[in-house]
Amino acid sequence: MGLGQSRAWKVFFEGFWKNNALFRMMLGICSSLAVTNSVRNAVAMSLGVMFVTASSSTMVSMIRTIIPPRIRMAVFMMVISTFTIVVDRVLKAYYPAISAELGPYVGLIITNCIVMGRAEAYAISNPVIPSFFDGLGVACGYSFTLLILATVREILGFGSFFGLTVLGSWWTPWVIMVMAPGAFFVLGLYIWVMRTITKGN
Amino acid sequence: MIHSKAWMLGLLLILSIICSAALAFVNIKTEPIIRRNEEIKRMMTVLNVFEVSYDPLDYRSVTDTYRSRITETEENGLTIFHEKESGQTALQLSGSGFQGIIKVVVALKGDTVSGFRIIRQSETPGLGSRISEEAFQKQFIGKKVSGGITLVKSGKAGPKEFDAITGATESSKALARILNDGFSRYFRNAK
Repeated sequence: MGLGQSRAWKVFFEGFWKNNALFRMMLGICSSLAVTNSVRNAVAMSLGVMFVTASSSTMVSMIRTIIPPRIRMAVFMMVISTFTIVVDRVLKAYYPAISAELGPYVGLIITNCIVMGRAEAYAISNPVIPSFFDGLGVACGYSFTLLILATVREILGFGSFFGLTVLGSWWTPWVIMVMAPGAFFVLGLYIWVMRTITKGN
Repeated sequence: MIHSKAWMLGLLLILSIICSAALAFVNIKTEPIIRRNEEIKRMMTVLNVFEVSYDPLDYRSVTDTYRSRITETEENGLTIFHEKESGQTALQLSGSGFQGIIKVVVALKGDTVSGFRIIRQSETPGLGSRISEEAFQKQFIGKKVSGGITLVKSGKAGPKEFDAITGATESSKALARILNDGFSRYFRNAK
């Protein structure tokens, strides 16, 4: 592998926590608002972003020595869109229900700043294996946030978790939680809490 | 060498060829399955409009029920479905909405609507897209439509009217146009 286990873990952890996409780099906010009204959607989106980020970082890193700096953005775009379209088609074919719920957001992974951000900030100047772990780490950090937001929003907004009712009929669902404004409130609180916790680092 | 213009062009060209080939491969693999999914979804919608029961988790049950109960005919560019047991009829109507094509299936008992389903729409999320909400679709049941249907904003629609969606006037108008266009063609033929 040419890379000790501890180093891979370090790269992964840095991407996951220290450079956390949402509460450190403030990237990927738009999609995290859009897909977090249910845990199921958040999981599907997370898997998509993990796959796209890890594979496009790996690919960019593989061809990094032959990419002319002036056209690197075009190359990133091409690699990222190819992987994204693959995810979109596979979801449509094998998981039509999830695909219908995510709607246009899968296609929008292409514009997720995290994917392009990792290609530009890491993969273009680092070897293949660390690039893979960096992409995966950052995507996992993003997914972690997505799951927290989705859990809070689904429980308060529908009284359920992963589609299973957890709060009885006595619970009045907070409709605002499943709509976009609800996402803003939860995300705002989340960023505040996380930044306070991680202040010392 | 990697700074030369020729290489910039060359790399982009090579990459586009590789990416296109990869996408073409994925497309060939997934296209038939996606088609089948869409076809099954359409069949389920038609069965729902006629209130025919089937097992939604079993593809075989959907296609078998559909084939044994429903016949499709094409008249003057209108797709018409007939349900054998109840003898009911449904129309598939489509046209351009505010943002894209709206497709809807309407079941009729004489001149009264007995089922209404939007099968396809790409209206503004949260506004026009609400035409596919249950509450909106349900209001059409029981309307008398042989003379067309009128859009009202009052929230108190009569038997020949339907309520528009607040904030989505254009989508509502487009839907009214699509429905009236289809109904007038259908009832003209029926007479």
